[in-house]
Amino acid sequence: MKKYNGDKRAVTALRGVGFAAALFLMVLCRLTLFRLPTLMLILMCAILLAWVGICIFWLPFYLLRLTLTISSRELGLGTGCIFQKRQIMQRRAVQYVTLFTTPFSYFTGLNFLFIRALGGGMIVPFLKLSDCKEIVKNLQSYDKY
Amino acid sequence: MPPIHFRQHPLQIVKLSSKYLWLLLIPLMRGLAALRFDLASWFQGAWLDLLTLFAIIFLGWLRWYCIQIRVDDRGIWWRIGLILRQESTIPFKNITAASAEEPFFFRPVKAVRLTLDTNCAITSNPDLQLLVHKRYSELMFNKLLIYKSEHRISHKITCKGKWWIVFSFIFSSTLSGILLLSTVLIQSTNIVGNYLELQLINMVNGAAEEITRILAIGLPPAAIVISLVLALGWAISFIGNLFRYVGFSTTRSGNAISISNGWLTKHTYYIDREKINYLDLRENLLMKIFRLVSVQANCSGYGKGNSEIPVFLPISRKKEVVSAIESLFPGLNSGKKTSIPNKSSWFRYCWLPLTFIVAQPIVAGIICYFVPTAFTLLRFACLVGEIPALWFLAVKLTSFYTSGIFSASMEALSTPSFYKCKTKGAAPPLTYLLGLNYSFAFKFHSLMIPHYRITKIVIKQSIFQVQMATCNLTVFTNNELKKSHRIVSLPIYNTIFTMHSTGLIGLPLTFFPKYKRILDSLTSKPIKNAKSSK
Repeated sequence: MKKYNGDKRAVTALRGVGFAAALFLMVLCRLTLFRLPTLMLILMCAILLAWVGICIFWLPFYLLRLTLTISSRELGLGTGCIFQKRQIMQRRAVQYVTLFTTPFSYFTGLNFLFIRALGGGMIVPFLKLSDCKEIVKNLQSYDKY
Repeated sequence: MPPIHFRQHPLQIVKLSSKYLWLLLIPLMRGLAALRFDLASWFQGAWLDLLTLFAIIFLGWLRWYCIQIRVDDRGIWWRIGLILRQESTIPFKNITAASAEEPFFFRPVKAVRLTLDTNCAITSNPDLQLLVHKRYSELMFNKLLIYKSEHRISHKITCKGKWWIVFSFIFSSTLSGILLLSTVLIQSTNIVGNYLELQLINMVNGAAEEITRILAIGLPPAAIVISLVLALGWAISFIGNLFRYVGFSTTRSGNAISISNGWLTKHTYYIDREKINYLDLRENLLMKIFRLVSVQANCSGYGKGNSEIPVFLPISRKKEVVSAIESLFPGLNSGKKTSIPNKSSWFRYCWLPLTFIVAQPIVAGIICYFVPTAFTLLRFACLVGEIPALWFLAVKLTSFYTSGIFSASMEALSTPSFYKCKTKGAAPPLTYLLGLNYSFAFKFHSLMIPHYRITKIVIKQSIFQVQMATCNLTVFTNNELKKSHRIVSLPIYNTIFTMHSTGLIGLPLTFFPKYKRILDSLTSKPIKNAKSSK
């Protein structure tokens, strides 16, 4: 049985992406709502607070609690910060696995595993690229018969 | 037995020619009628249209000729296409469900619509759809039954007279009736223009005026028209169900289950008992009060058609249904409920209907404030809206007292090993099942799912539920569509214990939050609040 945790480098990458998105939205607010300064300020504060709340506070907790446990019989995915979720999938139900990577994902940790089964599926985000490849190889080598 | 080669019924040429063939035929016939059947003049003007019509029919015949089918003792093979050919084979062992449909207008020419389905998860259409002569359809069904029922043990269960009417009454749907009516009106518009539609509108308006005059209670005419349309939709669905499910019977021979029903259109189904994902015992509140149950089977390919309900046993008293299921699945033994919602979780079940009950008069009041002229209509709408909301509250309260999970077992379905064990005197192998009792919308469901049909289990907790040690359990099953079954506010420790003790979950307890409490509960007293699941 093996346990995998989320890639901590994904926090930095997501903070960067989140900051860029927040900056873009604030500039958009500034350009479109300059005639309504109160509303503009409220929106810009809300965007900033959302970025702080999600990227500074929520994201590290989310990645800390992200675990994928693979045993000989099943896969167990634990996610969630405020809403804790435990997903258990039988290995014999898995039909195939898709690995979705982004540019420079070896450094950023922005890798996603889509595990497909008949009647359900599982998305495992933010694992290390080496871990993802190991999991894919492990699941493909499973002989259910 | 040598393989049997055949082609589809010649009637299929009409379908293969073109679905818009009649668009060409109707103007031609109208032209002939306008020229008072003067064939010579008509032919001079319409020769190109006639040539096009002949070409369409010829191409349809060619497509029909190029479809070949062969059935032997192992499976069915078919080939489609002339230049680009496509050959496929489905072995009998992979067929989950088959159906044969014989509408009354096909009976003089003995044509039957045959469909076959497997577990390959193509959701929109069956894997194979053919229009064949009745003898080939019977041949196919005989082959399937012989393949799966080598020991020829039969149990037959039929639906008695009154229960068929009760079933049709309860399972009629206003929406399906209105959809059917809309389809007929749209199709008729293409042929006869707006005639039928206008006739229907006049009839409904006339009836609404008559009812307003008779009742004289100040109901707005719009409300009466809407009520009449809904009642008409329901009546159409009820009559359709009466004709569809008359003579319903379920027969088991080995691992083959045959279901037949229908009068105007005769339906025969074959289901592989080993490929049934789960049985769903369905009730609504009225049925629960009178202890009636309807059973539906979830199996790839069964119940896939339009307005088709995957009925296994239509409706009967609970005791009769339980004994019928035990004859179809011998050795079925369900345990007591081991995880039920805590008493403090009642609001989690009732918040939605309570919101509807309280919000409707408030919203109606706000609208009346801005639009005073709508008072009468809004009062009627509010009154009518409160009835289903109160009913929903009763359903959710009942669900709070009846929801839960339990374990069950039955003799393994694989026929050869079962009979081998029986003759040697050893205990037959067991299949473990997870039982779920829950409600969704206005219906109650009681499922027994074999462990090997469960794809995924999700245990979810909010921050409040973590403190109260409760969780929401969602179970995903093998299905062509993503189908899940959700029970809310179950005690997390009992839930995990139930699944762990039957081997459904093998992961260590450290996987779950606050696992030490689970460990303590496992080593301490037996599970509290265990209730009978029957």
